[in-house]
Parts: sequence; C-alpha cells; structure tokens
Amino acid sequence: MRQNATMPLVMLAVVVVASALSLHAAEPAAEASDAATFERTIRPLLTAHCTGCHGAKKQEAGLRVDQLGDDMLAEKSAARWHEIMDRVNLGEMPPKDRPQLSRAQLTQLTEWIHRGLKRVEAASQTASGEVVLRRLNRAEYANTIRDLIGINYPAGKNLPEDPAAFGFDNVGSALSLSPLQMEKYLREARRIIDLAIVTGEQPTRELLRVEAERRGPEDRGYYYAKDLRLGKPNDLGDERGRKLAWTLGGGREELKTEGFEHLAPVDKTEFRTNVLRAIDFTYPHAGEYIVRVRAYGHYPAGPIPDHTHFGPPRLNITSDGVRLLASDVDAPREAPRVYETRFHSEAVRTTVFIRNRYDYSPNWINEVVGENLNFRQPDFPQPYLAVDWYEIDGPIYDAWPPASHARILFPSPHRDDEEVYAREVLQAFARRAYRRPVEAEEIDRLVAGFRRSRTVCDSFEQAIKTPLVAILCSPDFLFLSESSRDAEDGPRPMNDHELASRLSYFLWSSMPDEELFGLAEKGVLRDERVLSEQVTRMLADAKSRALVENFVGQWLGARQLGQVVPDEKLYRRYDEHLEESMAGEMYGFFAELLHNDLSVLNLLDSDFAVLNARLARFYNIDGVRGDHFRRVELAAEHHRGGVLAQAGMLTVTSNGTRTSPVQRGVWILENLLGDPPPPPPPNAGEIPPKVDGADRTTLRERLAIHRTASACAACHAKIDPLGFALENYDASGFYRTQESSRSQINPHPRDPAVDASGRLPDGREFENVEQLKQILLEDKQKFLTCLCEKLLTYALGRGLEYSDRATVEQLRESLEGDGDHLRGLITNIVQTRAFQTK
Amino acid sequence: MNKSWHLSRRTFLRGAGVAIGLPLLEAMAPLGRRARAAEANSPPRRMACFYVPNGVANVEWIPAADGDDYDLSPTHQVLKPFQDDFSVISGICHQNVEPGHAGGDTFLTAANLGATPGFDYKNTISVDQVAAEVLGRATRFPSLELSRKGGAGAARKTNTMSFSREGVPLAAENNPRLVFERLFQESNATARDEAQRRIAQERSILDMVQQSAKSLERRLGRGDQRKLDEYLTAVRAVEKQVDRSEAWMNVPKPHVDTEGLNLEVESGSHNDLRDYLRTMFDLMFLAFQTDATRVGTFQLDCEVANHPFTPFLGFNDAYHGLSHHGGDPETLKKLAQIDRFHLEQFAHFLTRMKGVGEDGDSLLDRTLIVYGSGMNNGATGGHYATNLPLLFAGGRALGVQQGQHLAFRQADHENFNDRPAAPPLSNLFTTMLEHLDVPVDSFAESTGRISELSKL
Repeated sequence: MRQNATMPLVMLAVVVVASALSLHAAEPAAEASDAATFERTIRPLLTAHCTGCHGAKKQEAGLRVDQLGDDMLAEKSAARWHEIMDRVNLGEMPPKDRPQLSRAQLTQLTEWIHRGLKRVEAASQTASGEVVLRRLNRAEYANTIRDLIGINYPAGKNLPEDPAAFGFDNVGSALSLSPLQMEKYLREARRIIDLAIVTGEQPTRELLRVEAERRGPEDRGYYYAKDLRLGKPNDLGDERGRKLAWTLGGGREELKTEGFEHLAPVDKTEFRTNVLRAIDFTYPHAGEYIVRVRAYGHYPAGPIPDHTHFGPPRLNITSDGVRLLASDVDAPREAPRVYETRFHSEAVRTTVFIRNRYDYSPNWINEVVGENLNFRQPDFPQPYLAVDWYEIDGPIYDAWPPASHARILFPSPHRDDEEVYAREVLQAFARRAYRRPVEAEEIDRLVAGFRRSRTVCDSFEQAIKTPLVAILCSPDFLFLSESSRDAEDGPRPMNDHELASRLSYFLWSSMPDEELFGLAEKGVLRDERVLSEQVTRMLADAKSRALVENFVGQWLGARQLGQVVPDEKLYRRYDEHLEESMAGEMYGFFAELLHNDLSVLNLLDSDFAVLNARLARFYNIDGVRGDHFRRVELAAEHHRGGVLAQAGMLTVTSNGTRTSPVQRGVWILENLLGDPPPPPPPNAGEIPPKVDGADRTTLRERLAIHRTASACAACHAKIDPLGFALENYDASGFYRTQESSRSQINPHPRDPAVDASGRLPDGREFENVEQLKQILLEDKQKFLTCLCEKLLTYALGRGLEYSDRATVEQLRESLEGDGDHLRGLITNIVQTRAFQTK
Repeated sequence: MNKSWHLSRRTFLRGAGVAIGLPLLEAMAPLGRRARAAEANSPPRRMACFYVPNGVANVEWIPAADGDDYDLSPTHQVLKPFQDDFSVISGICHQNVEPGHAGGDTFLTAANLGATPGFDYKNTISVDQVAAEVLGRATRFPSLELSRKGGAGAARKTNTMSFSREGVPLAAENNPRLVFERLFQESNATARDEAQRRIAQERSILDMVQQSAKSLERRLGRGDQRKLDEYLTAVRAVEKQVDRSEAWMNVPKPHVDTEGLNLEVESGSHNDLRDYLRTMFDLMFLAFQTDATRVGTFQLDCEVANHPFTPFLGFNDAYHGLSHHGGDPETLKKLAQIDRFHLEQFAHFLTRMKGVGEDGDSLLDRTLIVYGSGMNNGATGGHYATNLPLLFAGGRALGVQQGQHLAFRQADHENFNDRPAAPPLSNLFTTMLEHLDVPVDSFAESTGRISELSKL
C-alpha cells in the first residue's frame, strides 16, 4: 500500500521535470546568461550578505539561501526567491545593523530574481494548480442533504470536524476520510432515508399546553397543567401534570399577576430555580415539532427602559440538550407575544427547559449602578421574563406522505411495475445526488441492489431504501467528482455540470438547484452572460448566507469565537448573547457589502456598522432596538468602523485575560495585508506574563523586549506596531482609554492610560487606530490582493500556487477598476480560467 | 465524584476472561487454527495511549534521582499510590520529527512530516494501530480513538493520536454519548432476523459504493486517486466492521449501567473539564473491562489548547500562553498545577484499572499505558521535540519492570549529563509491542528494545 502511494509521486516529478526541460530548450540564450549571472554576481552577493543568518549554521525564519540554486523550477525554489525579492525590496533585509546592499547590487539581485520568476510563471501555465477531489465538508453535507431531501433534520451534526488548510475547510487535499467517518456517513444516510421515506399512517399530532395558573395558594412551586390533545382539554392528572410543569421556587412571588410566571435571569447551569421544565417529556415520534411560549418582558419597576445596560429578558428553550431558541423578549405587558420555533426531534424522552438566560452577575449590576443593592429585593433592576404558558406541538407534517417522500417516490404510471419504477426513482435521485447525468450502467448496479434487497424486504418502500442509502454513501455524492485532466495536456475546461457544482458550492455551499441543472443540461452555463446572471441570482438567494458564514467565519475568524472566552471576572460584559452578536456583526457586515454591492474598502474603514441591540449597547450606541442586525451610521465618538473595530475580531485575537498585540498584528498581516510572518523560531520563549497585583507595567513595555532581541526584531518590528494600534480595545473588544488590571467596568485608578501609537518599519507613524486605518487605505492594493487571494482560495478549494499570481493580479486590477465592488470580484472569480478548468 | 457502575453478572464474567465463545472470522484472524485457539484462550493484552498538549513544567515533572529507588517528583505525587505501577522516562524523543506543536501529530508515529517531496504533509502508522492489527482481532472493535476536540484535526494540529497504515488520521470521537452508544448500546434491531437483514443491507450498500468508486476511478487523475484510495480504505474498514457485527451478532453488547456516568457533559465546556475527562477515562476503562476493545488512545486536549482552568486551579491564565513561560518560576508553578490536574484524572483511570481483577492480575497489570506529550517547553518556554515528558504504566503481568525513573542524557537538564545517550522513543514502542505479543521487527526509527523495562 505504501509502495503504491508513492508511485504516482515519482511519476508526477518526472512530468514536472519534463516540462521544465522543454522550457529550457525554448529560451536557451537568456537562460544560459542568467545562469552565468548567478554564479558571477548573485551567489557572491548572497554569501556576503545573507548566509550568515540563512546558511548552513543558522536558518533564521527557516530560510536557507546557500542551497538555493539558479533553477527556480526546483521544489519550492520560486516561492523562496520571491520572498527574498520582497524582503530586500522592502528594505527589511539585510537588517539595518548589518552591511547594506548598494543600489546597484539591489537592482542586480531583484532584476535577476524577477526574470527567473517570469520564466517560472510561463513554465507553470501548463502545470498549474489542480483542484484535488473534494469531499463535502460538514456544512456542505448538511446543506446538500437539506436541498436534496427536504427534511428539517440537522444532518451531519455527528460528523467529525473537518481539517482546514490554507485557512479554509473546503480544500480537497486536506479533507481526509477515516473509517469512523465512513461509518458515520453510513449511519447518517440510513437515518436520513428512514426519515424521508415513510410507511403506514400519519402519526397523531398532539398538543400539550402548560399554563402558569396555580390550583391554589398551597401549591407553591407547582403549576396546573392542561393537556390539549388536538385542542381538546384533557386533564392529565396530578402526577404527570406536576412532572411536566414544575419549577422549584418559581419566579418572583410578589410579581405574580394574571397567571404569568415571572422568571428572573439565570445562567445555563441553573436547572431548578427560575426554570420551567417539562420533565420526562416524550416525543412520541421522530419528526418536526413546534414549541411556543406566550410571554412578555419587564423590569421590576415597569417596562423595559429605553436605555439600559441589560436590555430585555432573553427567552432560552432547550430540549434534549440542544438549544431550540434564544430570543429577546421585548413584547410589553399590554401585548404579550407568542414566541415559537419549529425543530426536529428524535423520538426520545427528555427534559425541555425554558429559562430567562442572561449571563450577568448581580455584582455587575451593582458595579454599573454604583450601589450595593440586594438582588433578593423585588426592585433589583434586572429583566424578567413573564410566561403565560408554553406548549409543545407535533409531530407536524404539512402533508402525508411528506414532501420528502413524494419527491423521491414521485407519482408515475409505472408504479405497479416495481422494477421499472425503481429504475425511474433511482435514476432521478442519483442524477440530483451526483449532480450530473447518470450512466445506464450506474443505474443497473443500483437496480440490482434493489432487486437483492427486495427479496428480504416486505415492501417496495423498505427495499428501495438500500440503493438510496448507497447513493448517499457513494463517492459520487460525498465528493465533488470532476474528471481529471490528462497530465500532458494541462488544465481542461470543465463540463457544464462540473461548473454548476463548483458555482453552487462556492456561493451556496450546496448542490445546484433545478435552474442550474437545466442550464447545464442545455450546455449554456459557460456563456459569460449566463454565468453572470446566475451569480446575481444566486447571491440574491437566501442560500448565499452560506458563503457569508463559511468564508467570513474562517477568513475573519468568526468561527473561533467561543474558543478562548474572555475571563468572566475581568470582562463582565461578555456573555453568550454578546458572543453570538459579535459573530452576527462580522457576518452581517459582509452580507451588507455583498447585498448592496458596496466597496470592499469598507472592511478597512467604514462610516457604518451592522449591529443588533445587544452589540449596540456594548458599543455604547443609542437607538438600536431588537435582536436583528441592521445598518447603523457611525459617528467619530463611537470609535467603530471596519473589521479592525469589530469586537469579534478583537476578541479572537486576545488570549482571554489580556489583549495580544502580537496576535492582532499577525492577524492584520495575514488576513488584511496577505503578508503572514513566518512562525517564530521553535526556541522562542515568551514574554513573562504579568504578575497579579503589583505589576502595572504596560504590555507595550513588556513587548519591547521583542524589538531588542535580534532574533525577534525582524518580524516583530512589523507585527507589534499594528497590534498596538488596537490597544484602545480590550480583550473583549470594549473601547477603553485606560488599561484595566481588575475589571473592564472598573479599572484601578493607577492602571496606565492606553497608548495606541506606533511606527511602521517604513517610518510611517500613527497615533491611534484611525490613523492606522488611513495608512492601510493608502496601501489598499495590498489589502485588495489579499482579499482576492482569500476569496479565490475559497472558491477553488485549493491553495494558490505561484502560477496563480497572474490571476490574482488580474482580479485585483479589475476590482480596483470597478470601484472595489464585492460582487464584481465574485463575478470575476467565476469567470477566471482557474475556476473553469480542472 | 462518587460514581458507581453496575455491570451485569454476564459482563463481569466476560471482563474477567471467563470464556464466552469469542467469535473469530477468517477475515479478522488470518492465523493458523491452533494459533487462533491459543489467542482466544490467552487472557487479553491491552494498550492505551494518552496525550497532553503544550509540554509540562519540567522542573516539577522530572524526578531528581533515577533508578528504582527514587523519590517521586512534585508533579507525580498524585500518582503516589501507583509508584510501583509506573515508570518515568526522561531524556528521550523522536529523532526526526518537527519541533513545536506538530509533536501531537507524531507522538505515536515518529514521522518526519515534511519528508516527502511534493507533499506538505505525510504521516505514518501510529503504534496503537500496529498493536490493533493483532490485538483487535479478538474484539468487537479493533481500537477506540478519543480526543477532546474530536475529528481528525488539521495537518500539524491533529485532533487524534491515531493514524492508519496509509497515514490517514483516524477521526477521534469526543462526544461521550456517542462513544457509549457505539460501545454498549444495542441497535434497535434486536431480533435476529432484523439484525441479519440489516447486515445484509449494509453489505449490499458497501458493495454498491465500491462499484461506484471503481467506475469513478477510471475518470480520475493521480492526485484524485489518492483521495479515492482513502475513501476505499475507509469503506473496506467499515466492511470489516460489518463482518465483525455479524460475528458478534449473537453476543449481546455488554450491559453497562449509565448511572453515575455523565454522558451529557460537553467536550467544549472548560468549566466541566474535570467531569469530561473523567467520563472519557471511564469510557476507556469500561471498554477495556468489557473487552469491547483492547487498544485505545485519548488526546486529553489538542496542541495549542489555550483555555483557563479557573474553576479547578483558581487562576485564569490560558494553557498555551503558560507554556511559553520564559523560565518564569511563577508561570512554571501554574503549569505544574495543570500537569497535576491532568494527572489526577489519569490517576482516576489507574485506580479503576487497578481495582478490577482478571485471572488474578488487575486490568492494569495486563495493560500497557503511555502518557505524555509530543512537546517539551524546555527551560525557557521554547517548543522543542527533545526530552519529551513520558510516563509508562501497567503491564506488570506482561513482563514489564515498573517503578523506576529511567533517565537518559538530555539537552537542558544539568543532572543527567553523565547518563547514557537516549535511544529513539520508537524503542519504547517496540518494547511495548514485544510485551503485547505483537510481532514486529521494528517500528519507525527503532534500533532495538529498552531492556531496562523488561523483567529479567
């Protein structure tokens, strides 16, 4: 097996060498003269200036130049030469304290490199990056099942997390597949088909409503339950009634009014007090259910104040350990509202919890109001959730058999001839599942599977499941299969169906819809105008949310939120709702650019933000009500605008207890400037952390050590200043002018003032993040190139190679020529040769 | 943490090695008839490997003296009751692995990840999988892979310790409920007919997908074929698992009472970390006790794990940040507290393993255990691949000599410079395989055995 795996490699190497040889033959004169230049001029120059740190003895930044030859086609050689050219051009190398290159030497070196790189570019036109067979990742799997089957079921939830490469988890070469995962695909496919195809009678829909009324004053803590089966009141009897609707201590005694239960805020670890519970609730069948809660929100003294630090209460419903709903309840007492959600549940016996879930402590309230109030007092200023009743309703089928069933087992005149019908069914299903026309031979195999299965199954419906499950486990479904190019011929244009899939997995993270299938079948999808129209249509579709979440979630790091949570004592304002709102802002902001075709430079700086009420409170911006995200105009005093001022970015680049200017600087270099610094040498230590209490040195002072130690200086002179610019935002992204050693709400008087100034290696200086943003805008080409690279990587599902530079350059130029509009970039990516070839 | 389990009598008997006809298929046991009979009758030998990220605080981890009459280091005090059941090995490492956090990928494989030109990453088989190829023949599951993060992880940021013979990362399970269901829960199809039909259908499904793969293969280039090979390897492994299911169809899954077992604890919750680790250790123990498998790996946390341990240790510094300690004594103290926290959970596992008898020995005596990290944060908080933290435990009924500190020469510890040069870490693995009766000539970089670990 190992032997076999290495074989193709050797052959691949032969191919590359062969194409290199043919190139050498094409331009012998220039080649020979450059080889001579290398020996005569370049090598001595490298020996004099570089090999001291990048040679046999030392390999700073992992770079060794003494082994670099003049052949840039050698493994990884071109990329290294390019790196050298960049560093030298930028004046970063040789280091300032070492002998410098003369102007003539500099020109000689960079021009020589540049000529060589041009040749590599030409040579690799034919051997450019190939997209490796891409397995659907978890999100793509879930979306594809949703669109293919049409059931409300969290498919793929139990699949393992996918490995990422080049920043994204849709890169084919990195998406491995292990036996356990295959076992899960099999189990999941069986589950999905079992849910999609039904037999027998429709399960009875039941409605259970639990009212907050008590039977009498002695029933402290118990609720009276009514079981409204299909709307008919039916007393369940004491025991089950109690069990279903039981809360100990209940809400505030003195607030009880009109049959409402008033729940004080609790965190997720609270299971008893101030919690409504349907204990041992049994979902009789796997299927869709609705849970509804009639409620309003208030403060003890009356309605929810317009301006408050804490906002309305937050209804939180969980079932079987999964959160079904989290929603602000801002309906007033005069007009309670029914809050509801529709969800899939397995047939389980479990407990449904309803809470007013709000992560803050009474201490925080006291810190904010500046008084020492007792939270047991009824007037303690916290939001209450007043619940009238809740109900659980289901299983719900909009039709019987459900749409998922009718879609696979559609009406046909051949229904009575099982084998003919099976062929029709499998033909139609496989075409959609494989996202391409299916060959007769493939259908024959599936029909044979059906035939075998039919001998042991009682019904057609049972027997057809076997080949249907096989379709969902086959490589044609699990992978985006694209026929390969011939090695000699280089990239080949993809056929229309392959292109339809690439397009839909780029913009929707899901399979093509019927319109795309139709265009592919007509063979017109490659038409430039048709393709542009499709991009416009697809971006307008709600499914394009997948592009926003999967691209932004990984590029800007929204997915990392929650991995390192700001310390609860230091960062009191941080809670689950805020965390989700931070991600919501990152997605909402990008979606705003996408749907209104705004300039991508808004990512660097913008005069608006996209906020919900929770985040607006955190940003100290008035007048935003409700949990939905919307555009909010910014003023200078808000200190927001662009991703550098988004709390989500600022939180994921901090380490939980303090900001990390280094992580923030690296983040900017990597994600905005496309210039990731090499990883620190493995023997790099760390700045000793601050000792609690006495030590009030600033982080900046402690980081200064980076720029004095020579091993660190080269990179950190570039990294640290960028990070310092963001020091006005603490580890949860809260704006501050003073560092805070004990709590973001209440800094110690002697905590030092924030200094957000810095000086870039090229000498440009800034006082604060606003000025840094202007510098970044001056250098906007770097950002635009970076964005093009990131989006192209995501679109192709592979890492970019040296040969992709021209494509990126073109994309950047047209983006700039087009007023930096995001949609234009997406349309242009889809039109590139890289996107349309395999 | 007062947890109790109630194993049914039947399970207990099985765990204790009392013969209930163990099924053996030709496919799973390509051995001679006599050898198979011998294997079925000989009591089980087991292997477990545990991983902690970010290295440890060496100053409190490495014992001051070596030999078999040494005082436990401050960190190892929590293992006091097991002093005769484990050994500390210091100064040892893989010879050609990448330093830093990639050590998680290579801890059990010893691979030089970037060694294959044209690939950024290529791993090799991990030692647990070598063992599982032999020890796994006799059990329902050949091996069990667990990790806190779950899945395969990414190159150089693995979330699993185990790699297949093809070097494919074997996705680990991190959800206690799913582990439990897989190991101990009967499928709904309890009736024999139903189960038989299900197995027939699964065979048919796997058959169909292999045919699709073959026709797909013809259209693919070489890069794509590697991916398809991975797919086919996985399908064949599932096929074997189906064969096993059939062979085991008449043997009910062991009944394990879930009382006291917190299967709902969330892997990602830092506040519930202690409960989580204990539950996972418990599941590994139960898998061994019921002979559901004989080989298991568990990555307690992935490399670069960077969360606080506030509820347990009272300080809120993040884990990875501490590992860049810069030699700061205060920081090292905190790191040592984390090491002890992890070892306390490990001690819980050892306690359970030691508490169950099997043919007069304890489970622990019949299990070889490695606990360690693929990274060493050194004296200054750098990230090295040398002088890895390593504990070796159990196996005293399998001819292993425990209760010693085996110290080899190491780069950054002045006390041991007169010690013998360290053998490759792979030598520990070949020693283990030998004691497990898994015949191999060598493993990865091995040059022989570590004789000090074997009883004379």
